Amino acid sequence: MAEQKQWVVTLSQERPPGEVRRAIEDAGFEVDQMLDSIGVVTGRGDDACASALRKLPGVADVSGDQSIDIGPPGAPDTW
Amino acid sequence: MAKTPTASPGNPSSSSVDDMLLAAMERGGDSLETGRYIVTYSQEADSESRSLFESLDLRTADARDFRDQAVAMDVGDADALILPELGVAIVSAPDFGIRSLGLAEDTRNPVEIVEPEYFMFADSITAEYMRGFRRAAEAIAADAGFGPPPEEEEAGDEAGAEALGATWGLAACKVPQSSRSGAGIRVAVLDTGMDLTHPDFAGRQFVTASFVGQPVQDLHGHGTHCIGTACGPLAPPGTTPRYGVGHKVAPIFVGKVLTNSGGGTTGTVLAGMNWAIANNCTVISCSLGAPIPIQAAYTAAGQAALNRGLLIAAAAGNDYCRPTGAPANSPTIMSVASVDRNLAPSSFSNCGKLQLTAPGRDVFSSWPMPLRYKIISGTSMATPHVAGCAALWAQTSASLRGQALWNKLMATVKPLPWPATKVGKGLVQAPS
Repeated sequence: MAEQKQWVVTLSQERPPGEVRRAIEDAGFEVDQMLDSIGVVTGRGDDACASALRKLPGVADVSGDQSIDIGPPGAPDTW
Repeated sequence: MAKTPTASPGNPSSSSVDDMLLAAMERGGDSLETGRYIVTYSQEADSESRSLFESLDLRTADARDFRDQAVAMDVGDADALILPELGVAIVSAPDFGIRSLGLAEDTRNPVEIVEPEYFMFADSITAEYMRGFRRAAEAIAADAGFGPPPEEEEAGDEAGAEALGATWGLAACKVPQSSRSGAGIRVAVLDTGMDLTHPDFAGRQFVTASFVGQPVQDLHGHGTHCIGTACGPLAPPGTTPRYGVGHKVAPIFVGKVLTNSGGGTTGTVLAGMNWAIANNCTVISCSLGAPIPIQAAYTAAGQAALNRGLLIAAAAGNDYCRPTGAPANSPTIMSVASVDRNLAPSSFSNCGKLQLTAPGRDVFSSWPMPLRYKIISGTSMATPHVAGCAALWAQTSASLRGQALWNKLMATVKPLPWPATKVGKGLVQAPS
């Protein structure tokens, strides 16, 4: 089984969000969060799934979830 | 050979470290002794240890009395706590220093050495911790009418600012002269959370949410520091300088999008932005980021905020003039750089896509108790100055929201003699 990764899916405004959600779930994407106020969906899928999502109407972008690290308390290097 | 401790008032072996620090400060001097003693006894005499201390009229507790020996110093009124795995006991009694004289010389008992116990601190924070603790205790005492107000501490960076009654950062942004307070304006700070019990915020209204599976209570410090700058009080106790801009911002929305270790992901930050926008927070402050290209989702979040009359500000990052990171690099998010007290760009501040700059070097603000205050640096510290000033501007007119608020902040900056790639359009300024 292909490796499952965390993705951030940004929706375009051309299609109702609920409709897009159904479409991306049909493509095998496991939705974690539906962030309605900003038009973003986060969740899991493999690389093939992410590629399929990029071709769906109503999807503007699919990017890997990136880590953020401001360092531990007192770290000299923060953000 | 036994070391002979000086006699000093004892602290019960169950005292909290903070209680002992207060007691030590009351005694005065620079000693780091806690007032308790560490008694080391021979391992073969373990079975006799309890009777030894009881024979000295000490109420005695043994770690073996507790599940997994997890005593955590919570042993009620005991004067002596035996730690059998170590062959030591922590002893507290007002006159134990005198009573212990000769204990180790007496061959009839198993005591090998009696030593004072000392406070221990993580190396990196010792001086600041002690300064902060002393200052807090003195301020409380002064407020209660006991003794003089605390002396100006040696934090030289703040000396000039204290003369004005405000930090150098607030003075540079003309916050002390402003008649505005941020009253009625919702500000969200997405960070490591907040010390919700911080005494400087007593009575302030918080709305909280965590997106990282940990309580909102800030065990890191970064979030408490940022909220202090954006929303801290008009008049902190004693001679502590004013360090907060929007002192009547209400409610303060605390979104914990970074863990107590300082980690998060694009997803946790986006979840926090979504929450703040859904709650119509006029200003959303993000002192966080990563050295990655523009992320479409952050750009969408910034646009969603502007569409609803809200504004997201984010720190450019501290990679020493490398390109602004995300989310600040998104065109819909206000990117904030850092300057020092001479209004020169901070060496650590990132370059490139910048809207404006704000004080970010040597910023004094709130920190989780018991430290209470701390001075740290970064574009993270500059961003809440902008967020606070944005709240003040928003208070001046209901029409100053979203893009209009963005435009007003940009139109009112103080120009600086540095390229826009280092300071954007200039230094953020508060309304009169």
